[in-house]
Amino acid sequence: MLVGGAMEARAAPAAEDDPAARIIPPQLIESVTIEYPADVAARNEPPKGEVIVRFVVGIDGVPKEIAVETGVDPQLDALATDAVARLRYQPATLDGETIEIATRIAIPFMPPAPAPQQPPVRDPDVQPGDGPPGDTAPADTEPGEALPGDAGVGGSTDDPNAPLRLTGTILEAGQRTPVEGATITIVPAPEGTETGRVKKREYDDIAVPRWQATRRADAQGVFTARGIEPVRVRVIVLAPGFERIEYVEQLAAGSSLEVKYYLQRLPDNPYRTVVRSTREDREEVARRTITPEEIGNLPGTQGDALKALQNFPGIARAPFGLGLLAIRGTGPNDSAVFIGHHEVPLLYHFGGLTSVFNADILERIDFIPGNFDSRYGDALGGIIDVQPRKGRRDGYHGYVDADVFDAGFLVEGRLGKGSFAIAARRSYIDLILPAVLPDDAGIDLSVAPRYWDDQVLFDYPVAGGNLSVRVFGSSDKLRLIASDANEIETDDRDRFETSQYFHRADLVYTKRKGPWEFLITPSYRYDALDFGISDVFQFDLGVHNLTLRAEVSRRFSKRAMWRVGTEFRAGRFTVEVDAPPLAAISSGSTGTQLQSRQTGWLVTPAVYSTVDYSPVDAVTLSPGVRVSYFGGSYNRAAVEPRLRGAVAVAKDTVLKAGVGMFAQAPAAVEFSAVYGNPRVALEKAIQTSVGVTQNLPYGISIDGTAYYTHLYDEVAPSTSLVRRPDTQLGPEVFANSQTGRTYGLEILARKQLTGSVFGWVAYTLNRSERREAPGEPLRVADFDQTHILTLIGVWKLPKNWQIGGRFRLVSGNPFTPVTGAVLDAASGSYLPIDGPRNSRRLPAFHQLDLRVDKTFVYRLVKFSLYLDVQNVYNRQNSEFVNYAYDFSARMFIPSLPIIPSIGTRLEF
Amino acid sequence: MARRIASLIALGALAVAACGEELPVVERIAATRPLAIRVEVDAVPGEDAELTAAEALPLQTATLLPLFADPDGPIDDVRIAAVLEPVWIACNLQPTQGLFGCISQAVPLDVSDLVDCPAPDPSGFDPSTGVLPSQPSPCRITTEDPARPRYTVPIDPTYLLGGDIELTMVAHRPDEGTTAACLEALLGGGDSDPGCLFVTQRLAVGPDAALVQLAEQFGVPSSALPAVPDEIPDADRHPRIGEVRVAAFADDSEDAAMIGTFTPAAGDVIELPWGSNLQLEIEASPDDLQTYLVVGDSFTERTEFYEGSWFVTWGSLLAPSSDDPLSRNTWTLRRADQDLSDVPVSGLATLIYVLRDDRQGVTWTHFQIRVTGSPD
Repeated sequence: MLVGGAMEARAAPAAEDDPAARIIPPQLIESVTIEYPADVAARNEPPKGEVIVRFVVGIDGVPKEIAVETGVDPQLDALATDAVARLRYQPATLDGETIEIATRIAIPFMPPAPAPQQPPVRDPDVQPGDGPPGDTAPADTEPGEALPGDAGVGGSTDDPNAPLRLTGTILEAGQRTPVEGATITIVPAPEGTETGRVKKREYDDIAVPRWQATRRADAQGVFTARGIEPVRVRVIVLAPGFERIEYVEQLAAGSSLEVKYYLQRLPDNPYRTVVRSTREDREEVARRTITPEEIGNLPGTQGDALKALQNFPGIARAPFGLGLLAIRGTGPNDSAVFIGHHEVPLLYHFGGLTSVFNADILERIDFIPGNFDSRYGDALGGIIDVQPRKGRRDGYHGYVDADVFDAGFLVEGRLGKGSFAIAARRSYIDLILPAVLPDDAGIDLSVAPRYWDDQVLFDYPVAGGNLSVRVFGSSDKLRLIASDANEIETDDRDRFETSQYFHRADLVYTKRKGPWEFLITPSYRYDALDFGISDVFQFDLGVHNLTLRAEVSRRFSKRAMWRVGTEFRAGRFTVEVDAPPLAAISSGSTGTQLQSRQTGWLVTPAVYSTVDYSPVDAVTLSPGVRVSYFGGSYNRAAVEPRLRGAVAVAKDTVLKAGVGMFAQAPAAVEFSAVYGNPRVALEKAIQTSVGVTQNLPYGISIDGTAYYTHLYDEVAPSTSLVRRPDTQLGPEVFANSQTGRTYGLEILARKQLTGSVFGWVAYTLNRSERREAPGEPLRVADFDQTHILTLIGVWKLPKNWQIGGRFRLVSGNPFTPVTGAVLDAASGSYLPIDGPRNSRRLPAFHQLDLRVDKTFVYRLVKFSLYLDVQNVYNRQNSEFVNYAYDFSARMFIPSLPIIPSIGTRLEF
Repeated sequence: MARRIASLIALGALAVAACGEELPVVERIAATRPLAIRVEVDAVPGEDAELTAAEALPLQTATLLPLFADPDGPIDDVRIAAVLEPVWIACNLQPTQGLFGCISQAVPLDVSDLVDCPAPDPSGFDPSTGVLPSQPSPCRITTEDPARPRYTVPIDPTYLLGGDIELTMVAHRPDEGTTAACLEALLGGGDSDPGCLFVTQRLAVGPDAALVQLAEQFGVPSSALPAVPDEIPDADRHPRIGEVRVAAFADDSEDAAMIGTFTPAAGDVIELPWGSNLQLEIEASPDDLQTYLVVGDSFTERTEFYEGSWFVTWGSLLAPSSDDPLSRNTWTLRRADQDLSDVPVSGLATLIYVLRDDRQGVTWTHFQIRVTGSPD
């Protein structure tokens, strides 16, 4: 009985500028045969399944730090760890140097078929064939060569002159990529068996085959078999992480049969070796790194990995699923989003429908809720750093997909020595919505909500490094005319329009040479933002942004590394505003309308540096500093010292801490000479946090972080009468009078995608308070949510089914009660008389989302279908307070009801 | 305007809310409520008395005319004074400060600290001192006729900076609370009684160019004065309502028989059967829409627009607002969703139309329908 498959660990495909790309993985040189224990097999229900063992291949090629990650049975687990301990490898190398590498191995255990108690009954539908051919596990040799399992008369030989009987290629179904290392076992088939795919297994007498030939597929997935008998044979193909397949083929003398076999990937492929690179060593106190494939199919995300970010601790739940990134009690404008080393103006279309960058061409998403590195600046909250990946080079691939909102495509493949990826997406809400809106709704959608985005990525090796060219952008547009039913003629007063557009072109050159690492990336981005309400507010902004980031890193020793970089941002803006003065927004009509057209520059050069130093093995300190100057139309400078540290107190336990200063320029309107106060200074924060990460067996990790942020010099409205910069008396409008604090605890317990189950529990305990001016009472901040609990579970089931669920329980958002109202007789509308700001809360929010995915894998393509149901039990969560015209009565506006949505994808 | 903005912003949210319970609708007058305040500036000799100004220069006097309504229709001055007992407060509104911003910033304030507004005394003003007199703010407007008080614009530096006067009226609903208690709640910053009525209106002080000219005459250096256009524009004026036309049909079907057409004057009563469908047209002259200058990097000309608000005490209106010089609406004499009875309680249903421009101009009219018959 075959109880052990091929054992090999390989590094996951990785970018060439990543160390993973230059690692030569360990080569198995001494395999082990495992017998399924007879006493276990004698049980009523003998266990079966794969034991996944995690271990490190040392520089001597000997496995160490062996641990069972996914067990099947204590006895089998012990057998597996014992077997792994006896494996021997040619150690892995990086740039010619022998290194240690962490890897995993899956050892399948299948109990022997029960002995027949009575003559077997042949099912007419069952194709011939039986269990695994033989009791000997194939040992490991070079791909394409015969394995030492060959035995018996008629088996294959290593003689290159022997007649070629069978040539085959092993490919992954739906991807058409070679499955390197697949084991092909050939045994003679019983008389009378029909040729073709063996789809069902028949339990019959297990006979030892007369002979057996075993091959291994090479890097192209190719194998050959020479010298075997020209008879009808069974061909069994096994590959770690793939479904076993079996064919019956007719071999003939004097000819060679050529075949192609397509293997389906198992849902829980354990061969996703984690390769830790130097970049990942520089961990923030709470850096949460995710890969799109891990969370791409989370419920409630429409398959968008970037939307799944909102399930992490530290991010407040946004009403109606909007993509507001309110991190650790700060406002959405206090955090920054980077794609490929440069900031982008938005992450989601229309505030949350879907992300503006195709999440399927991302390599990594880093979410850093605080105490981020000196590389990042101009933010008081957190950082989201998204890195695009290179196009695949193992053929031409892509997909076409569609859901209820949009349709898109991706094409990627090899281009010379490089690769490319092209993707685009467009919504069709603008086609559907006008058709379903009733005629008497009084809404004329000149442009219904419409968005599109596109990405063109090109990577090419240049002068020992890698050059990436990236062009991408996004556009959102909406224009509607909302008129009363009795309107004779609509005009600008009935309109609402918004348009946001950006496009960016990047060059990124990275190179590693010895201990040096270089990055230089210029980027140009054009932003256009138009927003208009009625004829009383119109805002048109156009900005030409030029950004240059350059970094140099050098590793001086195993214990010390230094990185210095510069980020230069320049923006030439033109802004036209026609609006009432800002101070009027929260009160009644002003009787004033201001118009302004300004053109100017904002120039922000910054230099930054961080040193990673390990005085002893278990301790890493990362002091850093960032010096920024905010020039052009606004002149301020900031020096932001930061310090992070980590102590490995045990093998799987790391304590981390950080403290640092962070500065952020006020919003442009706040230092506007017309609408704001040019004298307002930078907003600042001191962030502190301590955290612990504990790795547990079975791919489980627990991460806890406590944080405290002191905010000061924040900009708040001011009604003081001052002499303005133009020497005239006037309202101050804004002042750096606000202080605040946020503190809390974040816990993330996460089960990695190592078995068939993946998920996490995220909990945030948070308090965020502000004091608008000295002497004023502290109040809770707008985005304060005391408790945020998110439970996520995804189960990968056989037959390419997947089911997932997300449950959220979140404290209600604060709101300001209305204690009375006054009629603004100039406009005819009522003004609320507010009670203490944010002194009440909406009811708690809870919601369950479910998602079911089914993938149909064909030889050349894959077809996926999903059903995503949000708010399964149709909970009427309150999102906002809606008042009567005179504020004499109120009701809560509920969140979205139960919403089922479906999506499809055809992948090739 | 603000209502329009709020409506547009909340469009999506309200679409969701529409599925839930209903809040009181703005067009239905279910209890005593204020609808408008008209500031009528005394005409300067030689001006067209028909074109009433809504903007005053210092030392000019204005009459403050509130419009209240209840389910019986507009409330007359006598009842306003006797039952609602309004008191009036003047407060200097800083430029760019939103209406009600002055009082909001002054609270909490003890009622006893609210001084009476002194009558302006131009004789005591000596421009040669270079010091402008200032007005206590906020202050209570003393009047013998609280239903139509008169107020003389004082001299205050705030107005030279582009500021205005915020007028706030405090009253109480009949048989609910007292004005004193409402005033105390407003100034104390506490919760107000549902029976309190608060209204605020801007008394625009200007035109600014005339103010600056005055200030320069008084010796105020021009560098301390805001930039104004060279030519002094006309003062802001109130719009005028022209003809009201009513076409009555037997019901709201397309082939309904016409009952008749009417052109009611303000306060007229028309008799129509229950279930009638009234096609309404109210005309305002586009010529009354003034052009004015918007301040910014330069002066930009802008034309006023109309904003009409429709109110009924009973029955169903097609829409609560309109924004055309010729405003149209449909009023069906059937019980609306939020009406409490199948027929008007007193047999009379009232329609009130308030026309505003986007500055301080406002005017109104009303007529009544004596509803005969019933759904039975």
